[in-house]
Amino acid sequence: MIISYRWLKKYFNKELPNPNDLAVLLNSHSFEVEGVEEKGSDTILDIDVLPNRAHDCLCHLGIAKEVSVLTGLEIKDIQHTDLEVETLGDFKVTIEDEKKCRRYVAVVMEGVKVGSSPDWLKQNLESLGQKSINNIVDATNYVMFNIGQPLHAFDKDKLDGNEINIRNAKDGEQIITLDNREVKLTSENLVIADSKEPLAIAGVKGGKKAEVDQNTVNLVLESANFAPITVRKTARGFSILTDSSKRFENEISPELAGVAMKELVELISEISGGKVVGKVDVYPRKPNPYKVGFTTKDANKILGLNLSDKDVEEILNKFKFEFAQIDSAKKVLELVNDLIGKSYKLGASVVYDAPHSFDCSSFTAYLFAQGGIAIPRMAVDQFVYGKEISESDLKAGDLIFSNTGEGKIYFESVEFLSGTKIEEGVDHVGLYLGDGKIIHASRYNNDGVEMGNISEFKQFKNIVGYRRMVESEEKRYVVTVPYQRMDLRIKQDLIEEIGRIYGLENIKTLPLEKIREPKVHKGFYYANKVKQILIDLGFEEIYNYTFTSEGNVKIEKPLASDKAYLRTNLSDGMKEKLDLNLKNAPLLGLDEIKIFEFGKVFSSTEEEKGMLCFGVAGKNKKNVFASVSEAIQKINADLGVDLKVKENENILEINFDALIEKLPQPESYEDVLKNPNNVESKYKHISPFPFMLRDIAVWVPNTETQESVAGLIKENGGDLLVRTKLFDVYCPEGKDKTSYAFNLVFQSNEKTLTDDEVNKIMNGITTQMQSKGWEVR
Amino acid sequence: MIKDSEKHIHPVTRLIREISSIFIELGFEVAQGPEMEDEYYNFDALNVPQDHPARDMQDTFWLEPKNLKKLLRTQTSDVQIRYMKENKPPIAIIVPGRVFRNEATDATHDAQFNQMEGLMIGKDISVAHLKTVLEAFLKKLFGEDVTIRLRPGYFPFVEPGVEIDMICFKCNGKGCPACSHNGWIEILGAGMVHPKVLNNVGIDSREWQGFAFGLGIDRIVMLKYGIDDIRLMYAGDLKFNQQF
Repeated sequence: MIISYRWLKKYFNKELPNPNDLAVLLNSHSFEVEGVEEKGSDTILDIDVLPNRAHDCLCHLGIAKEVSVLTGLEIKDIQHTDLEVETLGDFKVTIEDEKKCRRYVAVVMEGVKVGSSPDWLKQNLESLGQKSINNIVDATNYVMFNIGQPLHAFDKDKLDGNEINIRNAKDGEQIITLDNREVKLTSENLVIADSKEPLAIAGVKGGKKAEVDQNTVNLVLESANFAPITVRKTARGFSILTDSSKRFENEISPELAGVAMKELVELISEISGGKVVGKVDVYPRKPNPYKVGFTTKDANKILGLNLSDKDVEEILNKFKFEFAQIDSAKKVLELVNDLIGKSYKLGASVVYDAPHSFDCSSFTAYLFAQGGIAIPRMAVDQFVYGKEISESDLKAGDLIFSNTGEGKIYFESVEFLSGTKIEEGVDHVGLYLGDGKIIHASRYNNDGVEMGNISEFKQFKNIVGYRRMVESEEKRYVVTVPYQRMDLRIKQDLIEEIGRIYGLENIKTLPLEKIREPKVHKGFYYANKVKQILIDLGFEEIYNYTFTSEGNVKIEKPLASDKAYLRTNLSDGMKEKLDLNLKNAPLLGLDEIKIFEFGKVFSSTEEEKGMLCFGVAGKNKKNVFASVSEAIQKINADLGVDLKVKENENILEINFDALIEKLPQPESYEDVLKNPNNVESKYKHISPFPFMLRDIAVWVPNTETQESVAGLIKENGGDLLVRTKLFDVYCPEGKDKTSYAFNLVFQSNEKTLTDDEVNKIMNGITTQMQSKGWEVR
Repeated sequence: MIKDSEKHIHPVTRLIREISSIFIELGFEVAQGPEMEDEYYNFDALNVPQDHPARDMQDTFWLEPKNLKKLLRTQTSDVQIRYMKENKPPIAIIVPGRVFRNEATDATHDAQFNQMEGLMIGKDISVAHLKTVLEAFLKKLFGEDVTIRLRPGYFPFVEPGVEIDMICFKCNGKGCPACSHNGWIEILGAGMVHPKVLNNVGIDSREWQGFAFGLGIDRIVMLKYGIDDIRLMYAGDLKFNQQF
């Protein structure tokens, strides 16, 4: 999220810390700041807002609020004028599916003058890298980057009919977007339409038909809330990703739509004139604020701190959260009287339907939520969640569960510790009030929520159990979550806030004890054991890619056509690498290539196997097979297995999972995880250029050593001589001279060497040798 | 028998052995799991629902046919779920393994790489204990001078979530290419296991709590040895492997 420092400052009366200091503050307590860049008289901060804060912080106000919490600086209380008009007269707004469009605020403004935006507005948008279009469109963008609500403006006179319909597109309907792209719609896509056709792809992109241009005089303004999944699927389906789709995709609160419209109207009136003629706010389901509760003890337990109530309250106050420290059980009981007579609704939502309608378990869930205790939504889950108590211990505030024998009965929990069995079956719950009285919501009651003696309700004839939801008497902080903070839903979310504002750097380490002597992982042990056996024999381990050009399991969107399958074996890759490395043998200074790989192979979508594959390649066939045998024999001996090798086989692939199955469970890792040496050396960049080979043999007096000869060669060979390898020593009897023969490998890091260049070096070496009286052969 | 100095170990294996040994000594058990996974273990059980922006944080290789909902795992956290379903707390495990990301490859990103994840669940394992364990681990791996810092992070399967940086061991915090001139290297992601994740596997989050962490092994290998291209790890070219 690109944030303009200058824009941010407007929220505060006092001076903010300078951008770099602000970045450090945000980095340690809020978000990663990926960049701080000066842009003219402004500074741009690139803030990485992750999905959990995308509900409220993809805008300057959200970031400003974070800054306010961190610095203690007050945010200006900017109020926007209420829209006085309440209706829209003839103009109709209809939402076809309330789940896809949660709110639609439409305002009609007449008599606007469309033109270029004032400088301050242009400047603000420019600092975010946004183009200025005209004062109306700019205003919608400004408010979006200000408070996070995407907005849209339509030219009212270009609409067919006097209506806006938020509906699914019909298969085959088309729209030409503002950037002139023809899009074919399907019934999966939500559109904003007039009486004739789509005007916009809801939440994603506006259409050309009702584009606001310099001739526009009357507007229909849209401030709405669309379901995240709908917008996400549509935007990604068409690959039209916009600032608008991004915000809806991450979900924003429908409460924001009302606030944003006020701000938009005020801004448009200011910069382009115009008068509000009507407003309609279709808001079928307004969510209740969430209440989340936790205790200081909870916070300390999760964070590993020793905070006091005072410390916790200080932090909650920094957020300006509305909160109270309450006795949860008492609170629950206090609320019941006001809920008597509320209607029954099967599947009622705690967020949307309470406190007007309930079903039996949304009733209890709602009550405890007000007390800051989150219990599961369903009766059967509440039954598993609560602490079992006996009838004699029953007290006011406990829950009584029953099996009414009618409708769906649950015999195992659904969401909480799902699958927990309840033999007697549960389908109903009520809150015990003491003195034999109970209150519950039931479809069989006359009036929804009813209070009375347990004995008078047929639903409680067959009581299955009693449960306590609130354990201790401890007072709990119950926070009313501000609507923008859709990330605060459970106590751990609030505890995270406590932790990061208190400062993660202030959490001190605490001593910890080993749980137990860890069990040895059989596969890990034996794999490392065999790796060591092979390494000790001079084999080198390689890792190949899992992707191949053919196989039985296909990847849906592979990175390349020759990487579209999962490998079915390791041998194919092994052969390829043996060939590759054999070509480079001189450069590597090896006579034989000995490599191995441990890896998974996939014969079907049901079968994955762990394999071991090792292979040897070299010029001398006899030696190759000797190396293979040597490896097999050592593995057989050390592991107690009986691997066989076929004649003339230089690559062996073994099902390692199957091989170790019969082997004993090790008691300790012994030495198998020890690395035999330390690698301090820094990696040397590998040259991509081909190497050149030369041999040199020279007679030297017996007083010279192999090292002195090699030394002379290396000294005169220079940087381009990358390997010097002795391959022959001939010391004829009775003679006072010895012949040493070396393979020399030349390679440059910068280019392909020519014969001439290498010959020149060889001449230099030869000359040096001759000057010492040595006889070059 | 060849000399010790002539023995070569793939740098990823070397680091996995080193890291595993440190954690085994701290009481952690090694756990492993399949590379070809079910959507449930890789996403749903980890509190990453379908059509959720959090899924964008990891590009996935889905396998055909799509209706099987199988994929190449994007992290080794899937094994945490499998382990917790089979074993009751207290738990302390580390999971080394290959993971896959469906993104364009370049010198610092490859479609397959190795991760090491850890999980510790107990009666009152807290963020402070997380700090203790990770600090002890990093000191054993990089030396006593290690300085770490925790800052807020987000992963769907933990809450609170943190990112852990350490002072760049190349330049000692002054700033250099290895740490993007930042002075700090991002080394681990971690956090307290989300109650939903625990409840999903039948562990009551009111009774048990703990932390999870993850690190990219290839990345640490590259930083430690100054390797400039991650793809060298999987090229099978001994010109590279031989240096280790």
